[in-house]
Amino acid sequence: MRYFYTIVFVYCALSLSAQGYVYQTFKHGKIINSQSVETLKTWDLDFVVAHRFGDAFGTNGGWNTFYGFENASDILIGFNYGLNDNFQVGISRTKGGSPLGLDKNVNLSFKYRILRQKEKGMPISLALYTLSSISTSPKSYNKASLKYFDKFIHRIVYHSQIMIARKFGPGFSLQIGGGYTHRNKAYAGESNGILNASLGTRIQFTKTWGLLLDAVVPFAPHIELFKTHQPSLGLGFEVETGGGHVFKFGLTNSRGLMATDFIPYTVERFEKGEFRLGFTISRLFRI
Amino acid sequence: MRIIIVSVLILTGLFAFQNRMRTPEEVLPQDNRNVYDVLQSLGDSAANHTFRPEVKYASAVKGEEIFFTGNTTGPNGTKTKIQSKLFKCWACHNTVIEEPDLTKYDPEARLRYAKEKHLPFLQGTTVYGIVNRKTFYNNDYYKKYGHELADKAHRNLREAIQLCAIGCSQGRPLEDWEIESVLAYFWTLQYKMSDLSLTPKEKEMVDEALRTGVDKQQAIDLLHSKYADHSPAHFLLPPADRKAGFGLQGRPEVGKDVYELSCLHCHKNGRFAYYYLDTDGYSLRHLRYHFPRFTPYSSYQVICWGTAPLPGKKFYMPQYTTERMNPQLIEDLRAYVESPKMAK
Repeated sequence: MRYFYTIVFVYCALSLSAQGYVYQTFKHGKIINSQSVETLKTWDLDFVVAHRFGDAFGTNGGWNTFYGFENASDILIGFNYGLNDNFQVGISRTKGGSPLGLDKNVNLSFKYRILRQKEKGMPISLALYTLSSISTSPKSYNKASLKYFDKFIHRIVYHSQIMIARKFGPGFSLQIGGGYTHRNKAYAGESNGILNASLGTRIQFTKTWGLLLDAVVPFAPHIELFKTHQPSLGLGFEVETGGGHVFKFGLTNSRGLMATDFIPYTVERFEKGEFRLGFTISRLFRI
Repeated sequence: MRIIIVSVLILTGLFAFQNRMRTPEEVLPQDNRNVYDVLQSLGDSAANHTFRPEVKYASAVKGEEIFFTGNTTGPNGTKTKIQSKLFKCWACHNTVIEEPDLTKYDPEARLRYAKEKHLPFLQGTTVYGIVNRKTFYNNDYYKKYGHELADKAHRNLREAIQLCAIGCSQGRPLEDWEIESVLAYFWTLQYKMSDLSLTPKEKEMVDEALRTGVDKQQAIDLLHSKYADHSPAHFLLPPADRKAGFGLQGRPEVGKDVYELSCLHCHKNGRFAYYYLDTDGYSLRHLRYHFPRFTPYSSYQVICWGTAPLPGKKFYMPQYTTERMNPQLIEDLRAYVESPKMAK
């Protein structure tokens, strides 16, 4: 036993490279819309504030709303906490972005990283993410409304997804994923379950600046892509401001910040100017 | 013909026999006697940090666990709370000899030795032989911790361990049994006689003093002269003109060793930092940009002054003293990050 930790120490010291894990495939747990494979380190508390403005152009945008800055389509305040290096839990409150969806949502999430890319060995990172969103909105008495909550469980929307990512080099990471969203209550004629496929990438310019792109495409019997519903597209930049802080800003057509919101209800079209600026402030604490 | 063959066979047999009889090159047995025990036998004064076995639950095994993992099994049989969520002791301290000459603290010689022995090149002095030293938190450390804390730790290893726990490590105070356990672990890392560069004549002199009791003080002085009894610590100021630097010629190949053995020990994979570094071009370009500037990312800044310890907010980087990284090595590091060939 005397020499056990000495051996461990020397091993750790020698493992500065070659045998180690790949880190920072993405710098944050979320790309623009979709989740990334990144989980928080043990004891890290991530305080997140995210904001989506209104439509920049189109019917609801333009000078009248100062290109969307005078509207807030969705706001998120929440926390994620790393229980260990591969497992995090999160809780947040969102306003609810889509007028078609639920609002005043409390979101509970779990993310578990099953596989982690290594410099030599495991070529990919793989993570599972689950989310439950509970609407705390007052019950509507309009029976045609989604908020006509017959039962409590009608307030709940679930989402699960799997993400597979690879950091191809210090400058480029790519992620693909697939998921399933289930609404306990859906509009008449709509299916409760919606499958989705996602793609995300990060292109690093400098140590602190990177370009983010992601797309989430929904699939369901009631969805006619590009007609009734639109894929959620995101384009943005992230800045690592040091000390574990990441600031992101970008453009997206989706109004909602959470998957339970933007996957079922994104109808805004980029080409009609129905996109908005959003930003995310992430601050890490170790507690 | 028959005579020739027989002669060859006999000669071959003799040759083989001779080799079998030859003893392997003589290796002198290592002298594993503890230097402290030898000094005590010679009548040297006792240290005030000998292990107190009457402290319940304290043990070297637990001390080793605390050193490497930050916690151990407590008196109630469950794991203790992690001492620090930011650091482990080995983040800043080696547990083996890290200087080629125990009487001197030469950072350049230590870097060469670290490279040869595959050791990290760290801000803190190795804990190997720490119990053989007399003073701790020397020289300029009072500027960092104030006289009240630094003076208490200066001649008391237990207080030094506690100051490290709450100050350097930004963690919780250690309980008495935990301090005693860490101390017990340190005693397993005390100097052996074979660690000291004693010539056969000097060794004979010491053994003679032990046998006969004559010239004991001379033997004590001899042993003390073979290792430094404290680790000097003088803080370094960054150059006034950061563009010009310290005015020394940097050696990028040496700077590469500084980067890999020192910087990456904490910063690679965010091991003990939120500021991630690697050998890729992004990291080196970022360092290159900030090196000559008055920014928080300037290596002159953080090597000489560290970063501010803000508990719960961000990792704090301890500074290097000039004995741990001198201006020449800092310029070597700068030469490395600025070298177009070496920095991709």
